[in-house]
Amino acid sequence: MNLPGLPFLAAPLGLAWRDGQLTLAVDGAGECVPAPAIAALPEAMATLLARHRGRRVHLRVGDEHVRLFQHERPRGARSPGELEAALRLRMQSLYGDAGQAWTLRWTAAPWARSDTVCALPAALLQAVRAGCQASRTHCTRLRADWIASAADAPRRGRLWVLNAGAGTLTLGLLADGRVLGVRRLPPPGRHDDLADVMARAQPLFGATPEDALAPIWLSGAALPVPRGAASARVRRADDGAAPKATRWQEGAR
Amino acid sequence: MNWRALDFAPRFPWPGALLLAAALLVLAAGVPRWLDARADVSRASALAAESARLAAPPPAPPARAIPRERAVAVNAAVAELNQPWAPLLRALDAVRPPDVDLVSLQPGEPSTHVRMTLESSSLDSLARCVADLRGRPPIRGVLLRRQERLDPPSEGRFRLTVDLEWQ
Repeated sequence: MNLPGLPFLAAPLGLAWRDGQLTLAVDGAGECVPAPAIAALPEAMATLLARHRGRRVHLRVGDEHVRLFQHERPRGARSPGELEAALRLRMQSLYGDAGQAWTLRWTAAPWARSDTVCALPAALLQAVRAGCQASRTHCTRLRADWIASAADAPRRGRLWVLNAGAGTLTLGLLADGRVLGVRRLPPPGRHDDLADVMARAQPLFGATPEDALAPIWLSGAALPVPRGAASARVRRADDGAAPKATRWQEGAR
Repeated sequence: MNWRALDFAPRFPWPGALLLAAALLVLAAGVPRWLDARADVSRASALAAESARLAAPPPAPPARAIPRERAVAVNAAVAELNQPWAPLLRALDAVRPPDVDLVSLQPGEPSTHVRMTLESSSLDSLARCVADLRGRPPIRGVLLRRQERLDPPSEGRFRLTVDLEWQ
């Protein structure tokens, strides 16, 4: 819906920051601006969004900029403060720092026994805010690539969600829309394809033989899909922020 | 799975906005009823006032102005009529000897006093009569105002003027 004079009601713009580039997808075409670091983000946003004042923006951040993990909720932790302290401890053990410069979000379902945790640098949030102010746009969605991909995945049955960025692989296992586990994988080898990556990663999740046959919800551009049985399991995620010309799936399907 | 919880975008305060919208809806739904109720109340009070006005007795005609002299005379007559003439006369008849004549009995000042005039040829009878009147109900006190001997002296009559205080 594009109403003249009401840009806020127009469809949101898809913006993605990954691989050192800020990409704006408009009408199937992509515009890229180099943004190698967080400090360059406000200026890149101002440049890309200069003609879109007042519009809403959905920003996706590459998984290389976020921390993602699944956390078993400690017994007795009730208040958000207690839970955040437990999550910071877990970050300390996983990444070597308690993430004081990171902002945490977690699913926090009251009935769940584990939480999916996503952390983003606080400086990145400030940069996005500054970029929105500079371009006079409104950021109404800001998610990690894997989170955005998993949120768009089918809700039924078991499903692998794999986001293959340029230098990162993030794999998660979902059951009926709930996250059972998510972890960052080591970058694939030079001749690795999807089948190799899955074969190595599935034992890390304690996957059953049925899980090994579960469909794969694949997003990102940096992993070849072998032809044959493995390709039959692959479902293509709709990477709305990326211009169509850069999608690897176009040639692979 | 609440994927919105993993969204870092500034969140619109939906709970507060929903509460506000609900409050506005409730107000919007309640205001017409409230206005109706207010109109009903004012209508009912107007009806009550109208019925009270209709039920009230017609207003009294304006009082006519009474001349001051006439009012004074009427008040004097009323005060005179309010005197306990009959008990006073009964008390007087009970103590008055046959040779003592009651000449006058008139209202005095203040209104609780009555001025009485007695005549007799015997001063002792007059004095005894006055003494007997004292303390006889409704007489509370007796005050001798005047004692005179009437002319000509050959007739030998005496007159007493006495104020009786009654209660």
